[in-house]
Amino acid sequence: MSSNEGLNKRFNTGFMLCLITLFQLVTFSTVLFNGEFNPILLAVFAGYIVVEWVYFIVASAFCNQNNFELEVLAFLFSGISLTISASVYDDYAPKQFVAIILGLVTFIAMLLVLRRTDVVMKLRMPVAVAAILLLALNLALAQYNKGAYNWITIGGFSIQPSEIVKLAFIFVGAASLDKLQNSRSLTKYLIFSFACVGALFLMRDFGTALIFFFTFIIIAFMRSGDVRTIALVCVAAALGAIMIIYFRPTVAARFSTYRHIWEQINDAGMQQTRVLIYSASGGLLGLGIGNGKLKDVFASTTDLVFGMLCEEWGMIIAFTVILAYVFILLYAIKVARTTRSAFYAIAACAAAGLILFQTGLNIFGVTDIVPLTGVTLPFISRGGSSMICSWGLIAFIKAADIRTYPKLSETILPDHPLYPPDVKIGRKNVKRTTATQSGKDVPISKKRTSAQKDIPVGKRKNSSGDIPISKKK
Amino acid sequence: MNNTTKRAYFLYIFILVFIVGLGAMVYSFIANGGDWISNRVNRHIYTNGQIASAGTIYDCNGVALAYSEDGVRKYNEDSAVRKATLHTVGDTASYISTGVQSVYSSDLSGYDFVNGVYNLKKYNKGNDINLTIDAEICKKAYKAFNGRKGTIGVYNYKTGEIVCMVSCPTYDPNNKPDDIDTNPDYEGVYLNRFLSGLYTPGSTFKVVTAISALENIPDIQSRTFDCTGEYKTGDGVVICNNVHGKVDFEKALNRSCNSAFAQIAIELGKEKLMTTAGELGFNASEKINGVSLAKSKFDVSTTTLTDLGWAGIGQYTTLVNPCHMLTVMGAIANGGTAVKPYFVRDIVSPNGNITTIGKTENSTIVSLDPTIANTINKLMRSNVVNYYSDSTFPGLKMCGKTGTAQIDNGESHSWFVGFSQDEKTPYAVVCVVENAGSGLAAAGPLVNKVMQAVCDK
Repeated sequence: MSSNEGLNKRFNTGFMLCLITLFQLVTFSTVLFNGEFNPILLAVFAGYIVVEWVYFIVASAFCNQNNFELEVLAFLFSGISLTISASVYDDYAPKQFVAIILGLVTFIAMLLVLRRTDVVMKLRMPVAVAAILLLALNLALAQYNKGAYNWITIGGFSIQPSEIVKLAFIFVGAASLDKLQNSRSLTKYLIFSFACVGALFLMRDFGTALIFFFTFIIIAFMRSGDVRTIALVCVAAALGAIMIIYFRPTVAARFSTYRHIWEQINDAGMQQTRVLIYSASGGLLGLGIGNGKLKDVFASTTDLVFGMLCEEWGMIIAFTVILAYVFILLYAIKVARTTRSAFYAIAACAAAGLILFQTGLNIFGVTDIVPLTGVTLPFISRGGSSMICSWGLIAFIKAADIRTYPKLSETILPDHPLYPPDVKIGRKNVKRTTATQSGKDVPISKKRTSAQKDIPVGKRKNSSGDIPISKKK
Repeated sequence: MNNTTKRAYFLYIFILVFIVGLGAMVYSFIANGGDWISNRVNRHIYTNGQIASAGTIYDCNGVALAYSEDGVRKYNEDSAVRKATLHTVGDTASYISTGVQSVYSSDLSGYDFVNGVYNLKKYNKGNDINLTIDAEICKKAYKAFNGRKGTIGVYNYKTGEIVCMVSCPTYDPNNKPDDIDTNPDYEGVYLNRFLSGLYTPGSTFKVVTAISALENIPDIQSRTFDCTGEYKTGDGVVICNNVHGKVDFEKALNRSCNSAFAQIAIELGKEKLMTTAGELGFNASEKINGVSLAKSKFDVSTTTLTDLGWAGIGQYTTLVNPCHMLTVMGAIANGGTAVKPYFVRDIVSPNGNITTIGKTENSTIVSLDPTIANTINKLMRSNVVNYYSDSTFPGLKMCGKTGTAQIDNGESHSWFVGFSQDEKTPYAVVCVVENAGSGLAAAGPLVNKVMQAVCDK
């Protein structure tokens, strides 16, 4: 990349950031000057803008980062969530601000970890065990909330462990299934997946269980490419779901409101009907921040936040936000094409797929297009666990972007299974000169033969394409 | 590696599904947004179950029939006007589902897809609605009903504007009676009988039979019929209201001779009679100003000859919707062109934008041949001139047909359908007075009172 191009990029990012800051100044001040002046609110908003600028300046000046597409979106959405939280109740704002900071910290920490694929491989098992323990703890200390037992309170803080486990699920899945040829690692991952989804069923958090299942399908399919196996898994899951509905009518009753919300307008269909009524009331341009009525409905800033966006910010902004989630997935597919190893490709696609799937469950659920499952809208819904999870998810995508770790070859051990001898940049294959700290350089041909011995799950596709080396083109 | 990333393309299918879902969502917002925001739980529009700040509903002279003041829905100060226009305007709680306040609630609240209810918030006022009805004439009509049940509708058959639409029983929205749900006097009080009612047409249906005869029997006007007070159909008897002796087609219609019309109906046969009825809009649905009219019913496909005879004189299972009948009268009066009635003229937004709702357009269900229209027009004029007498409608050039519809229990319903032939007063009228006996005696004077007021305008 020439210095001129780099300058250009930096300018574009700076320009984008100015636009976002302008947007936030407008939206923040709307909340600030609506009602009594609150100095804490002013501090939170000012602090948020400062955090944004500090991140971008530090990252671009000291960490060689030139590309901020994901962070720009994440900061934009987090800002919207901060504004919505503050517009409903002043006290929400500091908490949400802390949540965003925690999210940003998680994002940076994950980028540091994901840089070292050797560390990733070592962390795989501990993370899996920790995730299971966390879910077990959740089940033990479960607190009933909105028909699900997916919250625990520790030291005055409510957390939703399943949100954190989402990150672990992708982390473990992408790292294990990178070597899916080994049937033992597959079995382990299947057990792990089953434990996660099972725990969520016990918590009656069917929405999150579905999200995990969908993510599992992405990871398993991307690794094996075996349509038959995936179809089998889906059929088995569907049969399981039917059995549950058949033997546990109480579960089915939870979804009886679906397509009947207007008949139960003041009880079971309350949330969905209010979302529809007030979203339509907002029109394309919205009634203005703080002028809505949906905010008085239970869970307005969490599960129903899409309705608040429509009502107060207008459908144009609401649908732009939703389309941005689609672009995150398109972006992930694009970076997966040129990334260094299958681990990154799978993790990025799984994370972006999870975000869009959860977005779909949320917005189509609250508008009664699919049954309501009570999942959050990534980034926009108020809540610490959800915010941390959202930031963590985009770290997977960011890590897959080849531009994120420009000097990766110097830090990775060449005898490691994820070690990339060739890195594709754009359409050209660029031969890399690799640092050989370990002093042991394995010939490429040897690695390929060893990899071919393992039989992938999808037998038909047992070509060298399944080894994590991007050699073919 | 390449395979792995290629497999990512299956995510495009997922994106496609997601986009389709978004499309479905946008579509349902566009299609149903107006219904959703009109829901009574929408606190932008309703406070304490009342349309708090909806627009004003005006009659054709700019008289406010319903308006909002300090968050309360109010109605015209004259109690008789309130009662007379209740079914057109509708009530606050939307019990009257065909009322303007129900059907146009999203417009009254100032809703549109682009702005939502923004204008309501900005101006604290929704859109105003101008109607074509005249409150004073409705009041006269309401008073003329004098406590009887029934309905009357008058419209301009050239433009389609309904100037009078009254349905009885009615009540005062400012003072709703406590016994409204139990007192038989209020039976069907929430129904606008003009738009949603279905009545046995009695002899008014002879107009339809006559049209079918004019279409299908070339020498019908030179025929004579012998009325002995009954007509033997072969498998039964149709009773006539009188012994008319030897009558021709015109006299048979003048005197409403059952013998003659039963004979004509049987001669025409089931198919031809049903074809004509179908062309005149029976068994078909029409919507005016967002309200689906009750469907007029005529079905003789499986009858005996006697029942066919009874059907030809408007008995049997035949049912007619008054507004549909008015459109048929309009077609006869207007040289075969049936203009569709309407009562909502336009919607005016707080910033002065006018959306025209009522337009002069042809009925989609009623069609009539112009020459036959002119012939039946003359015959109906002959009814008034030769039988009912012009003195019943002094100063008007009325054409018409009365009906005394026998019903299963109780006194017959009294009908009058007709129109003014005068080019300067192009109005058609349909009136039903329930359980009031003879058509001419009960409905005739009522129609005269209303038509005098309409034509004086």
